[in-house]
Amino acid sequence: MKRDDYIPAEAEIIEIIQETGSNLNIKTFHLKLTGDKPIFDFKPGQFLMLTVHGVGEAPFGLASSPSNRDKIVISVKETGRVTAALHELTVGDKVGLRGPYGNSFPVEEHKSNEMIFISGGIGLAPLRSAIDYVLDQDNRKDYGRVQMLQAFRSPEDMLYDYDQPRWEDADNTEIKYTIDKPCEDWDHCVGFPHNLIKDEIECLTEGAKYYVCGPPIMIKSVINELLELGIKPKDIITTLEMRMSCGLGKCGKCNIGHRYVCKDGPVFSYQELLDMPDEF
Amino acid sequence: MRLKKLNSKDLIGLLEVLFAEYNLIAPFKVEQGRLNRVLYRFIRQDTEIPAIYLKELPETTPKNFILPRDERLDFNGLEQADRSDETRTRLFFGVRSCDLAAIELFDDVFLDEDYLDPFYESRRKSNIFIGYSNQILPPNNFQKELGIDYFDHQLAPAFLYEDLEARGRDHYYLKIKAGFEFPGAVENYLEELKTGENDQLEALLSDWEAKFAQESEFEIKSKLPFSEKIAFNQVDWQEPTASCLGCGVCTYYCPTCFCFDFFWDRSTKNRAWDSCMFSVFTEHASGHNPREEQHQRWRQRLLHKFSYHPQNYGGKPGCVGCGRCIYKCPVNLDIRKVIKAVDNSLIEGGAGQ
Repeated sequence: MKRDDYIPAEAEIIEIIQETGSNLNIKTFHLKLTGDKPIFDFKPGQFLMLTVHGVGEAPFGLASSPSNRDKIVISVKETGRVTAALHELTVGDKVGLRGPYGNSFPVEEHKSNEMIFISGGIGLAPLRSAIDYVLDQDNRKDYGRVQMLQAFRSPEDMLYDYDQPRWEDADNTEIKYTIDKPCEDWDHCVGFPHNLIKDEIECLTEGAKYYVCGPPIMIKSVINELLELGIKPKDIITTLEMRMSCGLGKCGKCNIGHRYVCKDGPVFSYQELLDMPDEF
Repeated sequence: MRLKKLNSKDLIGLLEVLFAEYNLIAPFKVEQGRLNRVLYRFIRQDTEIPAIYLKELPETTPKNFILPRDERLDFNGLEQADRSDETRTRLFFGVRSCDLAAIELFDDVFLDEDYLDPFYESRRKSNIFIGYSNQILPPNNFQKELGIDYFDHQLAPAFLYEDLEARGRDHYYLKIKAGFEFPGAVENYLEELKTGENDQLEALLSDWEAKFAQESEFEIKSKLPFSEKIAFNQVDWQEPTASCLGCGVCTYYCPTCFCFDFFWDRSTKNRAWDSCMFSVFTEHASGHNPREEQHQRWRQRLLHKFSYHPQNYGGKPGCVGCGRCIYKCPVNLDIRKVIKAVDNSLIEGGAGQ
């Protein structure tokens, strides 16, 4: 039995990266636990509960590969009270952390497969933990070709420009970018991701796994398109977000049917979602 | 098993010796404005004992003491093993069996094998309960339909039965379960009391049970847990729940509702009850809300109790049938009516078994 007293450990902000322009305001925070044991063990796809002292607590997907254990990375879009307060903080400020919570991406189980990552906006953040894990030097040989389709509202809203060259140069890896509307000096795709999958991704119906994350409407339309292309529900993996307080399956907020996104998720295959009520 | 027979004076005497041993909590009738309410509270001095009011179902339950409406999550206090207010065992006196079943349900959730909630544990560990019943079936009660015995519960080592029609005589029976012993002073007092005849008690309880059966006609035909998929998708949730105002009073009086939220008071983390009947319960910061309509929130409340909870906790329902939500609802929305609508749909669809 594990005791959890909902008490956050103390972590320090060691770096803040302004990811996007002012229109969406996404920042990436690098955090480090203070104290004697600064190691935070987690699996790709898990999340943490972050406390901004005096303001509140909210769940954030871990955005870095667990192979890099000396820092904790989350990307945060300024949306509500907690995220707005977090965006006000600076390097050296302290926040509270608890976790990691939830299940994880089945990256071990998916070895020897081709990996396809399809993201919408900040949905790339949780996928980054799996992408970096798969592209990690020690793991790269265990997986087949990697394809990505990254969707953003505009070029200004793109994330991780410091990662993209490394990802583009990785062995046997192809990345496609798309934005909502055409604009000058943009020589990549334009349009919503579900309309581009057929032409931009080589979709195998065997030996390939599809990781999808973005806003609920994007997840639903991308999944529909993948099913149209003959992809099996069990080969489609997504990660969901819900309002939650505890992260432990007790506070009663994040359930979809009898399953809790915090405890039984946040990662679900579409096969699993088919057995759950459509309430997310 | 030991059975004692008591009159009113004997019972007051018993409560006096219990008060000397325990932090005693019992129901009292209190005036609040024009309302007469029956609420549990601590007994501060023994002169209050004769005012304990058992006849009617209290509005509140021991939940208010074990998972308080709001509490400061005092992490430092948890580490101090001997907190002065926790050193004496709390005795909850006069608890109905349905409310005991609700505590059992809380234990399943907060002391479960995955994660143990230490704040719950600290409030739960030194409690004992003395159960209570008389021949009045509390209004709207449907506990029997959920498999909860009227006259016994495993969490109560002792149970008091009051025969209201025999008032003025030895009209109380106190049943103490085999193997349970009170502290010495209480045992000495019990020694002095008359022994009850078990046959007489059994006959009395079976009369009450027969009377209750006549008064409570409600029946759930489908087996629990309700089929999640069919109940979620194929039941008309709007019609039976249309009058709901979303006030949440049902969840605040519910002895089994345990959903909570954290809030901050400067650097202090607090916990408070929350309610699935509120729209903000599931609203994301982005504005997206998986349950935008009130009937979707009703669906959540009902299926949490009759499908999701039993699926996760060995078939046990998440409702104890106490009837408080029916009595308290400002628009008389009766949960039995909604259960019936679901039940009928499941039976018609052949998914009731």
